[in-house]
Amino acid sequence: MAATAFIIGVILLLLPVSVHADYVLPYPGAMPGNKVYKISRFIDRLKQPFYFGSIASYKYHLALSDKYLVEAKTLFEYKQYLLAQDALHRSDAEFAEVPKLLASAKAEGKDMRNFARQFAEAADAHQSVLIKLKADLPDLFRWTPEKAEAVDIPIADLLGQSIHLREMIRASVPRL
Amino acid sequence: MSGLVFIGAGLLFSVLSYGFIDPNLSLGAGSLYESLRQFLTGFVYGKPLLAASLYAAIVVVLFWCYRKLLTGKTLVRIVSARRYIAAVFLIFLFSYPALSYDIFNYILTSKVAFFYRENPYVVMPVEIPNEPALSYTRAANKLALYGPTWITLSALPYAAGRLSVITSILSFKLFAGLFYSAMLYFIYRKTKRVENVVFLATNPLVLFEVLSSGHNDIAMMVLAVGGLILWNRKAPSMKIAGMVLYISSVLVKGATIALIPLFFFPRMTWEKKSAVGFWLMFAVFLVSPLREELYPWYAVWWLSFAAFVPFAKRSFIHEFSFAVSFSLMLRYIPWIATREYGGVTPVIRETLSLLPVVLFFAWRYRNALVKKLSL
Repeated sequence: MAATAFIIGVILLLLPVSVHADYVLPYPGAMPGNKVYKISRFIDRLKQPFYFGSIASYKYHLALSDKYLVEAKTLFEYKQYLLAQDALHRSDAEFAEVPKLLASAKAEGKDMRNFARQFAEAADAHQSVLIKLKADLPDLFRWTPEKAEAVDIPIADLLGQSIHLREMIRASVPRL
Repeated sequence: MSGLVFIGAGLLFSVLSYGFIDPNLSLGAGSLYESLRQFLTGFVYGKPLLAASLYAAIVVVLFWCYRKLLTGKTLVRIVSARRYIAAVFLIFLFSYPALSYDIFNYILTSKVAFFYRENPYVVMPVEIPNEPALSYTRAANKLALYGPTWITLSALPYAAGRLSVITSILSFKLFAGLFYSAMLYFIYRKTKRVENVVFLATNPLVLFEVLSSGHNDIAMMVLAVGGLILWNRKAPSMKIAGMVLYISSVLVKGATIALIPLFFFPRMTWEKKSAVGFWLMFAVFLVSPLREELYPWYAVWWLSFAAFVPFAKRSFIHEFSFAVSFSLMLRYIPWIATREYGGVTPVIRETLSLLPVVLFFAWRYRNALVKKLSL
């Protein structure tokens, strides 16, 4: 019986399988509070001129949007809501830069269909992260810093806005 | 006689080279062009063994004549060296880059940078799928393989040749030809000997790799040698200019980083520096397979220095350079015969390129033995 199972197992391993690679988000890098976090942010800005050209800029902004989204996700999971909110805003801002770059690259005569497809996949990946966060996190969080007034962080609204932004941009992708 | 045979063999290669045109590339239109292309490509692609044999015969004849030119007075008798070099320059300049696809990679990388205005270190040519040159360019799925100096310099031939594929190829080959001419000028300026110039100018490997294939290694070497020459001057401005040139050279391909020690021995004579430069570049050449493989055009690195070593002594460096140059040109034979990079091709390639070098050392050993016994 064990031998049969082993043989079936080997055959199954040898059978050709189709692998679908979804859009992969990066691992979280340095987080706020880490010694290299500020350097990492500075390098992010420093790299921008190196990414000249519409395709290169597309890669730059999408990579940063991914990076900041993963940073926001990690911070939300560790209940660092204020920092997470900032990271999410940055991710949104970078994400919003991308469609115009795709459009300008197309206007320059570059076939951008592959990148448009990739961008749509990125939007889907972002949305699934945000939807999961929205489901797992409280709608509102009151953060009371020491020696300062309490601040309400409308987590559900923030995440909802980010999801909506991506939905809107995602919908515009097929027209590119 | 050997000079004329050399020119004849060069012309034969130049014609044969058009048989290597990529099937996806069209260099012209018209029935005459088409019938010629079909005839030549039919021969090279249809009868690969015969094409490989013809290529081997051309290489053997070219190296035989080259040796005759270097060892005899033939060159001086036939035509002046300048006219002779101009003739081979033109013959190989107008040949098709048959043995390497690198020139197409240079052109396409330039196009990414200067036409599409994308950073070639971030965007691969293949990422612009509607680019027509992708159909006949290799390594389009890689980011820029060369340093910023080369990318910047390549703006000139790109701008000059952007009208068509054929003008682009010619323009990049001519650009390599300008560096080739600059190197010959340096050699004559430093050695004052025509033999040294002829040593590099008519080396078949240099003609194939620099003038026919248009490899940018000659640009790297001209910048490095120019940098060293200026560094040897006393004026601080010259030294700075020399260092700038040298750094520019390193930023072409990186290999000349090995020449750094030459900057720290101000009292070393130019002859000595040339010999040390030869061995330093040869060492880089030997370790180059660690990165990719032993490409024949890398020989330009050390051949450039060998040309500065006093030729009258018929030094080991020149004899060795001859043997290795010849062996490297044999490396193309299995590829022409099989059109494959894998399988048995690498085994035959390595055997073919080792054999002349082994024979060279055997011949040296035999000569030393004969000399010893006769004493």
